[in-house]
Amino acid sequence: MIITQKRSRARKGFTLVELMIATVILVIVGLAIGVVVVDGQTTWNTMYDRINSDVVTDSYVVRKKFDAVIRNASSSKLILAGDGSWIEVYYYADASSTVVDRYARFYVSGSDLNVEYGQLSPRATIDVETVCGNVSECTFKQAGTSAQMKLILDNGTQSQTIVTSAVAHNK
Amino acid sequence: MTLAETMVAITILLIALIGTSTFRYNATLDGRKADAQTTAARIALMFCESWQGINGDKTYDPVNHLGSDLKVAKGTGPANPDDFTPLGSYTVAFDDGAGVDNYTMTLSWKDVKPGLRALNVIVAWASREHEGDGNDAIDKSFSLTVYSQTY
Repeated sequence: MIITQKRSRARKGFTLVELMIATVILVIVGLAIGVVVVDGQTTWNTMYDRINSDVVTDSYVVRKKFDAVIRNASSSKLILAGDGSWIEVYYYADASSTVVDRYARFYVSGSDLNVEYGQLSPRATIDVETVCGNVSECTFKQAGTSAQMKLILDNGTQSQTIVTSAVAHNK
Repeated sequence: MTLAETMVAITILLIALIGTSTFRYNATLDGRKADAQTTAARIALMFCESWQGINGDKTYDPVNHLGSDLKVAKGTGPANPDDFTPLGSYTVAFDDGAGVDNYTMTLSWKDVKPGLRALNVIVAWASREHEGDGNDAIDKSFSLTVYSQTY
């Protein structure tokens, strides 16, 4: 009996060439998707830091505090350091005050921006509040009854520049 | 695992990936738009407060008052409101640490009655819509009017 073995013509797998081509295509597509994902993640991180990082949130607080203190101040007098390193404004302690009897002074100590509140007569400090840290530059200017502040916050990885102006509203 | 199962799994992963990317893209775009609008509002308020500080003087010069802190230069800006007298148009290049954005602005004023002056600041910036509604080339603007005693 003669047994003949016939090789099946039906292909039950992929050839090496097909596998290599498929692998190359997959790698190219994978790399393209990877680039898009990494780019999207980088943009997302940048935007997130731009809105939520500590220097940015500190800048919101600084603006709010500066506006609140200056707008509450009397327009009769603002004192500015010769080099613009600090500013002092004066305000009424409460609605029953008949004269300006309080002061608020913005100044930088180390890398902190502080605001000192005190009474005028006799002059005494009531409280010192740290508004924010990471201050690398801070200058104050005056234009009539408005005060301007330029502040640069830098935490080593991100820098935020704040330029703001507020006018003293009270007499 | 069969080929069909693998393809279903890949499809689900791709849908999740595309969904996440779309969400992040739109969130980033919205964040940038909000940031631009907030910055424009702050610039408008800053100029108003600075101008108000000198009682809305007709000779107010933003370049002189804010030029050392901001990159302010004379330029072209949006049209001022009707009945207001233009003071000048300026360009502000604002660097918020993540890049420089340009804003154009126009300052104008109007005497409402003796001793009371309305000060108007309009800040415009390039639109970043990309929604195919034909508004891509239109600048957005923010207008702020404050009142100041002139004495």
